Amino acid sequence: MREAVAEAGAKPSTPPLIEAVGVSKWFGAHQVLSSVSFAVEPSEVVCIIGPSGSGKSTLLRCMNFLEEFEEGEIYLRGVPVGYANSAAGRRIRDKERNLETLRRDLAMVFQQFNLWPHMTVLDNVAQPLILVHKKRPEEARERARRVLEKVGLAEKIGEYPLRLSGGQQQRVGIARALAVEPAAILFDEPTSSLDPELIGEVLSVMKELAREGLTMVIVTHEMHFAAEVADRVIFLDHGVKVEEGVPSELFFRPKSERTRRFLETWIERNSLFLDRPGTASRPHPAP
Amino acid sequence: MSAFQHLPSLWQSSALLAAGAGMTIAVSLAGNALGLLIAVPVCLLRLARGRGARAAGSAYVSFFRGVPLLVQLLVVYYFLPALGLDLPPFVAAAIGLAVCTAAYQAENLRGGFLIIPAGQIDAARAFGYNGLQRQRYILIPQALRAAAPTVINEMILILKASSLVSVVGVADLMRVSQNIVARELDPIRWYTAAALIYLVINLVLALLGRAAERRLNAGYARGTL
Amino acid sequence: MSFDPSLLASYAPQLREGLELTVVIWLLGSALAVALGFMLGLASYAGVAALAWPVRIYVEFFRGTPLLAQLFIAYYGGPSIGITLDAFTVGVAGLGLYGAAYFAEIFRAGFASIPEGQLEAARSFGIPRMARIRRVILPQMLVLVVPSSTNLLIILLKDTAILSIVTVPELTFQVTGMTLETFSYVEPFAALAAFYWALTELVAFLGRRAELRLGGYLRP
Repeated sequence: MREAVAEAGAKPSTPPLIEAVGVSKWFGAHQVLSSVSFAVEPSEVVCIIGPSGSGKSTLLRCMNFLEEFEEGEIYLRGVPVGYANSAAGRRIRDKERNLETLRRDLAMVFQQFNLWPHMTVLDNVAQPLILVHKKRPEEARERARRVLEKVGLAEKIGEYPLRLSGGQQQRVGIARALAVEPAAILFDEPTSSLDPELIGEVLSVMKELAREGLTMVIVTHEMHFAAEVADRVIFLDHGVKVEEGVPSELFFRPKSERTRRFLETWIERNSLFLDRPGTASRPHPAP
Repeated sequence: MSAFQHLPSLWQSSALLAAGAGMTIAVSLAGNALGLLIAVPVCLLRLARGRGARAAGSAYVSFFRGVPLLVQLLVVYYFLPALGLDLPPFVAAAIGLAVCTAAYQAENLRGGFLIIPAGQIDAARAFGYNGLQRQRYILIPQALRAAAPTVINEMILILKASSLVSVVGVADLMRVSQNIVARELDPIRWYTAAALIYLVINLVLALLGRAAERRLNAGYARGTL
Repeated sequence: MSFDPSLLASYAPQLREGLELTVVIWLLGSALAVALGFMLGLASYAGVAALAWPVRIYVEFFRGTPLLAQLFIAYYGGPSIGITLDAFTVGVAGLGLYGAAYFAEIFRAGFASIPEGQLEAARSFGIPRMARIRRVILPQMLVLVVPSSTNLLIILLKDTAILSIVTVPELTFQVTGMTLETFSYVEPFAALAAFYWALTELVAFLGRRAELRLGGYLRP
């Protein structure tokens, strides 16, 4: 990845929207991320796949600094996330206030939805706009209404989250993320907590957002979805970025044995898919 | 007072009993109110980030839950004059009840905070809420609602516990019934009457408590989560 | 406010007697409370129709009224209906009957928390009722009730102090007597408080140990 960084520095082009360079993290003695590097360009959809415990969610949560990391850097629009380098070159943890500025640009959708149950659906979506983005309440609620309509929940705005189905709750979560008009949305296994019949409604919302050009970083187990929608797929295993590539390459001509073994179990159960390689909903750039 | 003395003694005693019940309710209310006030900082200590603060909070809770209320009342009753505070028994008793119930209420409040799933705090942080906003809009509203049942329950328990203030000179229901028995010499009737009055007040408070809980949780519908 | 520690020495025999009595009454009263409470809880869980109302009334009365009132009724009211009990008996019985009402609920909840599925499985394997109770219900229930039982036992220990008001010569009674004679109040009562604190912390510690020992199979 060093060459990529050097190249980016050499060209006077805009830096990637999000960039991770050599990120490593330990939980005590256990290393959960090993020198992971990648970049996300605007309007890209990047999917991160891998077995449980591979560090996918941890990596995502490092990007908006919900998790701290011991080594490496993460940049949002060229600005380092979470750590500033003091004059002496030492790493100092950024002030909470600067983190809040960062978090205005990134939004997150959670596996457990994490809606606030004591507020209505409308308030769940509008409140961050009022409190963090300093919008006027009527303006915030208007925007919240529009976004909720977009995800198909216009009639539910007065409801409380716990009365909704899982799929509906997650769509509210997506609406909440959309409403703040972030530079990118991070999705942390958005469908893993859903009953099978509810997954579809969430994925179709996400596909629509991808079609519209939203920058998305998605940790997921839904390989179909990743193959269909992602511009790039990253395979993470035991905290190491094993492989990265466009879906048609990574899924059907994986370069690494580990990738192959991970995909085997999936491909076996989904052998039908192998007969229809070009079923993406939008064209991938030529490899 | 002469009209009072002309009443048949049964009526006199019943009136005194009622007055005693009123005193019991009054000292319980005072103890509860002051106790909740003290409970808030103790709870904050228990939840604090600093080890010293947490230790102080734990010590308070451990002490006031580990010592019998009767002994606490005796200590407070005799300690206050030593500090130069010459307070009437009612006030001393209320303070004694308050510092005791505060330990339990602090734990009840803390339980309300602990029950909030960490994911909600994650979401608040991810969307840029600062510490104060997280407390005010996400944590405190939910913590109070979650703690309400145990807080209300403890407030009702104080009513029974207040029977001990009779020992430090407060003319509560127990003390009044003792005075009546000294005169009327019918201990079964009057002590049972006093006990049943406690029971009835308890039942009424329990009903009120449940109604209050229902109103608090109106919109929520704790669904399947 | 001067307190002469050597006074403690002269009162040592009474204090020791008081402490012994506190522990003895606590143990006897708790044993009564556990035994009676277990039967009440079982009756409640098993849904024995004839016992439903009596148990309910018992529990509501002993949980809804102060222990002090109950003791007054027993100690001062007893003689007028021909039952004259000494202070010690009133103490043990009073603590026991009071505690039983609370243990009843603990045991009932313990019985009810055994997943129905396990009992169904036992029934479908033809295991008879008594054996079901002995082998499936009781072992698991014991683990579940330990935390709340320890809690209640500590409450009963603290409540032994209330017995001093009906002249039971336990620890608080002895210390109160001492203060009345020495005219020094704060230090003795403060020391008494510290002593109870240590005692209840000890019981809590033992309870946590018991919980760990018994509940091993619950942890992954």
